[in-house]
Parts: sequence; structure tokens; C-alpha cells
Amino acid sequence: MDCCKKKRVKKVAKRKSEKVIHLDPDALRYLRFRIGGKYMAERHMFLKKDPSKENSIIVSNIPAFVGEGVVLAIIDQFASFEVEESFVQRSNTADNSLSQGQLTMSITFDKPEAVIQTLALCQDVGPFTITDFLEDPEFPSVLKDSTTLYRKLFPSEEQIQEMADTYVERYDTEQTEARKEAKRKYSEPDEDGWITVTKAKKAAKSVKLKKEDVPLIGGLNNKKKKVDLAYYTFQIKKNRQEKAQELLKKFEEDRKRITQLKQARNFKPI
Amino acid sequence: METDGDVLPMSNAFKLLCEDTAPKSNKKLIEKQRQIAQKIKNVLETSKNGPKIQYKNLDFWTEFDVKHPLHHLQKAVDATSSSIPEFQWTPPKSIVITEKGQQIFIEIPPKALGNRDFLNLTYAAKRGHFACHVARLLSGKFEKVEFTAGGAHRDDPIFADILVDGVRIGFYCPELAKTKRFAPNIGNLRPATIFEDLFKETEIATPKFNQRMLWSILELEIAQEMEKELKAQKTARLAIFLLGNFFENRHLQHAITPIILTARVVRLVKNGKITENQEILTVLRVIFEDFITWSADDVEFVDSVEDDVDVEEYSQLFDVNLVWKNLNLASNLTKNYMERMKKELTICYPLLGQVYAFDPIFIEKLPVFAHYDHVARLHINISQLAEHLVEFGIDSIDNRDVIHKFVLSFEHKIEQTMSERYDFVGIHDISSNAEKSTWSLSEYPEKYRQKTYLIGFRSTSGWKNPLTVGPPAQTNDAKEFRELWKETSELRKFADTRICECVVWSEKPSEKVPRAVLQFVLQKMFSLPATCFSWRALTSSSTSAEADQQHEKKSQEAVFKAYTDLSTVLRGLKGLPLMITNVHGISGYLRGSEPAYPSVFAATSSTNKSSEDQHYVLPEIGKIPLFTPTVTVHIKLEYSGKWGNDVEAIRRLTSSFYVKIAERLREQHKLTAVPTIDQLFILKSGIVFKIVVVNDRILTILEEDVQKLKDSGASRIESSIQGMRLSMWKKKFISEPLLQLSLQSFSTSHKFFGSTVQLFKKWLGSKFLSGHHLNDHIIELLVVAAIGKKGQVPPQSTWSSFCRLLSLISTHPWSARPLIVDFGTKGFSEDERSKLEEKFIKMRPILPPMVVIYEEDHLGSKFTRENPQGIVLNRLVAVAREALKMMEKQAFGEKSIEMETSLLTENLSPYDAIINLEPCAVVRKKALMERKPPAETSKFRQKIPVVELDPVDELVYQLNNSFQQVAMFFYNKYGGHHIGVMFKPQEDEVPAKISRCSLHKSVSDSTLRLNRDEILENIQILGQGIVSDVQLKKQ
Repeated sequence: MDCCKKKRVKKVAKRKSEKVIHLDPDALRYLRFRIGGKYMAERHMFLKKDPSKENSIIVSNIPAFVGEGVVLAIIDQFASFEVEESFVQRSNTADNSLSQGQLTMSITFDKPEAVIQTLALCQDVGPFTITDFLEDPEFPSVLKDSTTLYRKLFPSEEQIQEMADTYVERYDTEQTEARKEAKRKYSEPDEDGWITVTKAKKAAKSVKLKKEDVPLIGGLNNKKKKVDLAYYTFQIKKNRQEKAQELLKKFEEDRKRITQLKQARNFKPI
Repeated sequence: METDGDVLPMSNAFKLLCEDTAPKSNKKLIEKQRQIAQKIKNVLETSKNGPKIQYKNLDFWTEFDVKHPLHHLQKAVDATSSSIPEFQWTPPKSIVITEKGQQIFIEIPPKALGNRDFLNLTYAAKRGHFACHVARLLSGKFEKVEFTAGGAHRDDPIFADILVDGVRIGFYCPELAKTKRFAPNIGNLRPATIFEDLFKETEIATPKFNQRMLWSILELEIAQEMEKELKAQKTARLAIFLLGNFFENRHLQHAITPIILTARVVRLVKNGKITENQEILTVLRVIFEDFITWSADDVEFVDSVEDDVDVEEYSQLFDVNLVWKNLNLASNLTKNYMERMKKELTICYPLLGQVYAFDPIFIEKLPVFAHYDHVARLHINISQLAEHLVEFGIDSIDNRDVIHKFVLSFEHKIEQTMSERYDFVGIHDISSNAEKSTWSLSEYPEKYRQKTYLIGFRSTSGWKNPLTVGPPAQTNDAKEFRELWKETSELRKFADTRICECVVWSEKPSEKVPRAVLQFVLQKMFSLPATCFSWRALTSSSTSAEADQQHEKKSQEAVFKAYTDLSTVLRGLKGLPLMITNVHGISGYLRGSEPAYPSVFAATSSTNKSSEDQHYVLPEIGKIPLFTPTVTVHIKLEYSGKWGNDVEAIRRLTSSFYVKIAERLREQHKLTAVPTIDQLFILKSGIVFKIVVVNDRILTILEEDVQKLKDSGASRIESSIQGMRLSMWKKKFISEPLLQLSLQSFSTSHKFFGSTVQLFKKWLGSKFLSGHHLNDHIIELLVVAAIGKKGQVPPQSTWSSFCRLLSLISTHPWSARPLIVDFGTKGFSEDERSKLEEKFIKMRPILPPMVVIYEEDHLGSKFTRENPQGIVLNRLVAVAREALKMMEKQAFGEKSIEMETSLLTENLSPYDAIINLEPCAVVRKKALMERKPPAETSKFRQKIPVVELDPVDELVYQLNNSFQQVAMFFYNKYGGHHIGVMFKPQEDEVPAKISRCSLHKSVSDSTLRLNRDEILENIQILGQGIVSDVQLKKQ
């Protein structure tokens, strides 16, 4: 993401070396801050040791417009350790956009004592003012974003045509190369020396004679077609029972359906 | 009558529905009633003779704490005479109890009556004394004894009955006189006895009074015969119960009373059309057919034709005739009630037998005002009718009768003056005392000095006709017409050379015309003040409201005309590589379902900083431009096999196509056209169209991708990237256009559909439920469901449509059943509906709160998968119910309120915080100055302005995107100046975990609290230029 321009203000933090703190590894620590200017509400960032990664902490509830660099600068005020790696993990927005909402980032230090000191001191320092770390504090807004985005929707006709021609030309090139590659497979041996064999035209199909066209082709021993009649008594009974069962099943389904309708009738939305 | 299609056979499900609806016979209650009835009988039979009193002494019972039902008619009783002036109670010799013990019939001894006591109020007075004595005897022995209205229709306080713990006691005298003595043209009630010396005539026909007397003679006989005929007809009794529900749910029970309904069924039984072995469906059909074919012009008999009845005489004196032993049971009916009844029955007749139409026909009930397109309130005081007492005093006993006669006359005048403007009219008593049909023994019945009525019209296309065209001049009909309209009638020549009598109300069609007609009727014909009548329809009578309607109508017409012209232009374009074969508009503006806020026309940009070569205007960063809507149009190109196999390549080629179309439009048709990568904007007649090419080749490619995924053995294809892309494409370019097509067709056949949807959208906005909470398609589908619901006479106006929509939303069991929308062309069959409902029940745990099924979406969650949430649906139901109450208050209340303003009033109290918007950011609100399309002769080509840029919409989207974990946002899309914020209660305090800490702050080692200040600050940062301030309410 694009970070805001940085402005480092050197502050000397008073270190209390005599303080002894026993930290719960799963404890959630907070860091007080505010935006600055007319935005003076007290806010909390939350810091926690990252159990899945060595020498790492997780910082959460970071406003997206604050930026990654400002967070690092704030931590440097009371824990001046070299940062090996830092990145934004996720956002709490519905569309997972890292330019909106509240961010969660991960910071990895070189030394393990950096984690200890950061978590130990973060609740006692501050509150920090975000605008102190920005040379030109300007926050994004919906109006600016929407008007800017609108302007991008209207490239000139020449640009549209150029983009279309460029893409289609590249697409045609890729298609041509793919076609050539496929053709080469059938004419040149591959690394193992094999050549792909394709289907050739088949010979004309032989004419198959149907039984009906040639009399007595099957001989005189054709089996009689089975007549679907209830010839035996048990078959008659079985059919009657099946019909009765179907009728009962249908009745039960009807009764169930009517019961549901009646229950819905008595239902009140609130 | 002929039915549409095949007659549906009887199904077991329908039979179960009917039988389950039947009232359960409570054996204990029946036994208790029998015991009470038997006890009453014993008390009366063992009583002693009472004292002799003068029958004119109505005050006698006062000392026993009983009031005579005719106590307020002392003067009228004093004016009567009898050969037996004394009254004495004697134990009745004949006391009959019905089989179930619900009613007792007591015969008044003939000795107490003189030979001519049937004249005037003599019999009524003596009957009253008899009832008072019975009441006195019973009052100390039973828990609850009270008077109740008697008569055939249970609405007659003069001939009062007694109610004892649910058992009714009626009094009859079969030997009072012969039934032919009460023929309609005979006068048995001298008006002078009621209104002193006001009348001089002594022999005026009293058909109504005669029917009341006849009932007292024939009551037991008719009741017993009905019971005998129906004793073995279990199915017919069930049908009577269902039809009773039918009429009650449609507010027709005061017209089609149980006695009329039962008599019609008895008539069918006697004629052999209903038998014991018939199924309930067959019996219902027979009864429906009988009522539908019941002609008001014929005199019909319950039993065989009675030779001593003069048919002509009955036909002249009553609107509807259903005669049984000289008694016209349908004497209270009018032609208007018949028309409405037939309309309702005709609508429902083809649906009989359908399981899912049973509830709309027999169970569900709409408010009375929802049945009509236009409603008004009439308040009548008896003193206002003094000038017309000569007319209304005939055949009347008290104020109630006078007012009733006035209403009948008023109804007749309405029919004479404006029958071409409505299908049917209904007049409903909504007085505060309308339901008081019983009263205590020591009290009087209501005096009825004033009455309030709701008058409803179901309008036709001629509702707003500015002319009332009469008969041709120089004819007898013309003379009658002129007598009716007096000096307001004039002669007018029409295009076909006819010269007709004509009343001109306005120069153009207007809502004010029927109002003027009715005011004329009330003031000129009845001399009533204008204040006693007020319209209570949705649209107000102000000029600005009507101007708004005209504005919306013109906007839709302009859009449709521009679209039609553009379609012709696009289809006729030449010089393109592929011809345009299909043009399909899918925008709500085309059917008038989107409010034209601020206007459908393009905004003119005052700044002209862009270069002359550009054909469009770009917004300045950070500044809010005026809002211009776009009308979306999908086009299809002729088939080509050279698109290739890459979606992105097709996209690029399509963008190149847009460029070429734009060039042709500029060169050949002088239109402003601006291509972009994914759409083409065209300015036509001042309206901006957004053209999108729909390429079926993309569908094929996406389907092939999904098929490859399936062939590779992947599971859960629906949630894969390829599956989601395919489903999204199908939804956007197949499902939605098909639905739009159905909606367009529906709006063409229902002219008021667009205005109803617009009102619904504005109303939703006023309740801050705009935007994402309810999809636009769902909004329109709900309106379609309300308008097209089977089993109801369809509405013909925005008022009735909106009433039914609110009723549908507030009464539909959303958790238990899906809403199945039927557009009316080809609906779902019974089997299909059964399967849909069954599938719904199986999948309910994973379906969204609102499920709307229609032809293209059998699952019902295409547009409701994410919204509305359950809590929002509950709120929607609640505010719909509240709005219905407001409409009821408007219809019934004493004072008329500005309905539209009240409906669309915002309420900010439920929200935790209020975001106040900058006025300039609210771009979609009603414009003060109406925009107009540019003149055709303009020399300068208009540029396409900034389109579809609503900062509030963008803000709300971003707010939901950023804060959906902790808060919900509500706003009004159409001119709302606030956004309501509701914090989720479960997020107030959460355990201290890294996954729950967003937008919270620490209050202890184990607990985090929602940081509301942080949220509101972020809102202000996001909303710079749009949000003026944010107010947090006190917790």
C-alpha cells in the first residue's frame, strides 16, 4: 500500500529499567493514540505476541489512513529496535480492502528483547498524535475517492482503441504461437523421440443389417415378448396393495402440507 | 357460467383444508347452553300472571331496573290505539328450543293482541313489554341478561331480543295477521304517528316496516324449516360457514347476512342442486354460481313460487328480492352491494379447489379501505336532514331509520350521477357505536343522532373524466337529465354530430372531477354542508400534489419515448462490423418505478472547463456535481464466431465496438455519445442512456471453465472463482433482464404499478430502509405480489395497491412460508407450488429471512441472500403495521391529515447516532426548479454530464464496508438529510481478544468496550465534504 509521507520527530523515551513485568504470553496490550487536529478521541491500538512466529508481534485496530510507516515510527519512540520485516495482514472491511477500515499488521524484530520491551512499555507511553508523524496530514475521503474514480472511467477514445488493439494483437500472437506449437507436436519428435499420432480418416462403415429387414435371420426360436399382465392372484393382490400404499402416502403428504399451512397461518412475524 | 380452463377436481388436500377450518363443536358448551335454555323454559313456564298495565305505559319497568326498548319512542306509542289497551303477562304456551340450545322462540299469546295491532307500533310496544317481563323474571337467576338487536339481520333494536349467557330469546306471534296483509305496497305505519303532524297522508306504502313485522310472524317457522333442511346437509353447513368467512373478510357481512346466505343455500337444497353426497368443492361451486348468477332484476323465491305474491310490486319497491312466504329476506340489499359481491365471487370462483388459494379466499382479511381505490368519510347528523324529513320519514321509526333512508337515497344519487366512473361503491358504517348491538337491561339502545360512514369506490378508467355525458337532446331522457343536474347541464356537440346534454366539470381529466360531482350531490340535492364530507384517499387535493403526479408521468413518458427513438436509431445503424439485433431496456425509469429525483433529464453543467473536443464533463475532485440518472439498456449483436476464447479479449473488442458506435451516432444522428471500456453513454432527448453489450459468447466460455473444473474432480464448484463468476454473470445478464421484462410487462398492464413502487420506495426511504437493505428488484416484486394476489378483486389505484402492500408485508409469515410472486401470465401450478413450499421447508435453516420466489428464481434467495437481515425484516414489518394504522386513522378519523406527508415523515429517535449530511451532498431530492430537456434547435451540442454519482450512496456503502462488524446504517435515498447509526448490542463489550478488538478500547485486562468516539471520528474523516457533523445520543 502507499504509505503516507513520513516525518520523524525524535523523542527521548524515559526507560524505566527497574520495572519488572511478568507478561502473559496471550495477554492483549494496548497503545493509546489519537489522530490530531480536530480529531482528538482517544483510541487504542492493540499489541500481542505472535505465537506462530518468533520475535514477532501483531498490531491491530490501525486505521487504514494512518499507514504502516507511522505505526513503525510510533513503536520506535519507546522501543528503538531494528525491524526485520513488517506487513499488513488483513482488514476488517467486508471486501477485504487494505485501503479501508481497520488494519492488522505483523512486525518482526531482529532481537527477542524487542518484543518484550514493546509489550511492556506500550501501555505506559503516549498518547501519541498521528499528525505529529506526518508532514502533510491529508486523509482520504469518500467524496475524493469517488470523484477520482469517476474520472478514471472515461479514457479517451484513442486510448480505448489503443488498449483494445494492443490486447487483441497480443492475444492473436499467443493464439498463433499456441497453434504452431500444437502443429509442431505432430511433425517433430519430442525429447524422447516420439511423434504424436492422430486419427486418420476412417474407412466407410460397413452396412449393418437389421433383424427386421431380413426375415428369419434369428431363426424360428424367438422368445415371446413378456406380456405385462397380472395373471396370478398374488400379482393382483400386490398391485392392489401398491395402489393403496400410494394413496395412503399421498394422503399423508396432503395432511402434512395442510398442517404446515395452518401453522404458518398462526405464525406472527413479530 | 363458463370457467377458465378445466375445472379443477377435488383433492384431498383441499378437503382437509375445508374441514380443518370448520368450527370445532364444543360439546360442553352445547350442553351448557341446553341446560341454560331448559332452565329458562322452566322459569317462564312456572311463572305467574303479571299485573295488568296499559301497553302505552313504557315507564312501568323502570322501577324494576329495566328499560323498555321503545322508551325513546313514547310519543309514537301514545299515538297508537288498540282494541285491547291493557297488557298482562301470562305464561307462554309455546316455547321452542333449537336443537343445539342456542336460541329459544317464545310465542306471544294471541289474547294479548287486538285485531289491528299490526298497525303502527302497537305490536312492537306490546312485544317490548313481553320482553321486559321475561328479562325481569330472568335477571335474578342468570349471570348475564341483556337486550340485543333482533330482526332477520340481527340489526333491529326496535324488535329487540334477549341474550342470556349466549342463548338468544326471540318473540314471535304467528297469528298476528295474515302474511298477505304485509305486502310491500300496503301502508301499515302512519308517518304521523312517528313525526306528529308532519304528514297528512294516511296510506303510504311501508315496505321496510312490513318486512320487519313479517319476520316477527314467520321467525320460528323459517328457522325451523331451515334447520330441518340443513340437518342432514353437513357439507352445506360447512360451505355456509366458509362463505360466511368469505363475506366477513371482505366486509360484506352487513349486506349478505347469515339469513340471506342460509336462505340461498336452502333454496339450492330444495331445488336438488345440493345433495348430501356431494363433495365440499362441488357444493361451494354450486353456491358460488348461484350468487354470481343472482340477478337483481328477478324476484326469486326460496321455496316454490308463491302465487299470492305480486312480483311487479316487489320488484318496484326493493332493489333485490328473495321472497319466502311473502317476506323479502334481501330487502336490505342494494344493487351496489350485489355488484361488489358478484365481483368478489367471480374473481374467486376459478380458484376454488386450489390449495394455496384457500387462505386468500376464505381466511385472510384486508382492511376495509384497502378494497377501494378512493375512500371518503361522510358524517351525518340527524339535524342536517330536517329539510328532507318528508322524504326520509316515510317508513321510518326512529333516527336510525331516517339516516339509513338517507344513505340509500345518497347511494342512489351516486349511481345516477357517476355510475360510469366506478365498478362498485361500498358504504360502510364506521360509527363509534356501530358494534353495539347489545345493551344492558337498564339502559336504552343508542339513539343514533349521528352516523359516520366510509364510502369507497373501485374506480374505472373513466374516474377522472371531465365530462358527464348525458342522453341526446330533445328526448325524455334529456329532460330527466336536466332535472337531475338543473342549471349545470348544457348542450354540447360532439365529433360524431351528436348533440347531448353534458355537464362540464373541468377542462382536462383530474382527480377533482369526481370530488366536484359528489359535492354537487351533497350540497345541491341534499342541502348538506361541505364539511360533512371529506376525501381520505392517499393523494391530497392540493395543486402541488397533482403537479407532482403529472411531473412523474411526463418523466416516464419522456424516457419511454427517448428509449423508443434510440432503439430505432441503434437498430438502423450502418457501417458497423456487426449489426445490433436486440435492444432491451432494463431500467426502472422505463416503467416509472424509480422516482424522478431530482429529474430524469440530464443536468446542465455551468462550468465549462473541459476542452471542446471532449463530449463529457468530469467532476472536480472533492466537489459534488449535480445528479443525473442513466437509463440502462442492454443490446445484442448479430452472431459471430470470431470472438475467440478469452473473456478479456472479448471485453476489449467490445470496448472498441463502443467507440465505433459512438462515431456512427455522432456522424449520422448528431447525438452526443461517449464510449468507455465497459459501457457507452448516449444523450438522447435530454436523457442519458447507458448502453451495455451482452455477449452470449462470454456465457459459453464461463460455462466451459466450470465444466473443466467439474471434470477435474473439484468439489464445491459454486464457491470457486469460476463458479462465482458464472453465477454473477448469469444473475446480471440473464436473470435480471428476464425479471425486468416481466416487470415491464406487468407495469404496462397495471398503469398504477409505477406510482405504487415509487411511493413504496419513498416510504422505505422515510423509514431509513433505503439502499442495500432491500434490493430494488425485491421492492418491485413485493408490489407485484400485492397487486396480483389471487382471491382479491385487483386494485386500480395507488392507494389500494399500497394498502395491500403494507398488509402483505405485515401479515405474511416470512419465517414459515416463502412469498411466491405470480405475474399472472403463466403462474405456478398447484403441484409446482407444493414442491416449492416443500423445498422451502427443507432448506429453511440456510435460507435468508426473506424468501421471494418467482419464475426465474425457484429458490427465492437470489436478491435476498445478504439483505434484508432478520432484524431489518422485523423492523420493516413493524413500520408497515404502523403505516397501516396511520392509514386506518386517515380513513376513519374525524380529522383528515395530509396522508402523503404523514406517511413520509422521518423519525430519528430509534438511532444511537445521527450523521447530518451537507445539503449539497443530498443530490437525489425533489427539485425545486424542474429541469427541462434542451431545445431541439439548440446550436450547441450538449455534453454528457456526471452521471450516477450519489455521494450519499457511496458514503453509505463505505460505511457498511468499514463498520459492518459493529454498526448498521440506515438512510433515506430520496432526499434524506441524515444517516441513522445503530450500534450492534453484542459488540458493546467483548472479551479481550486480538480478533475482536477492532474499533474497541481496553477497559480492563479481560474486557474491551466499543469505542464510539473512534467510530464517529472515522465517519467524519470518511465523510469529509459530505458529512457536516455527527451527533452521538446519550446512552
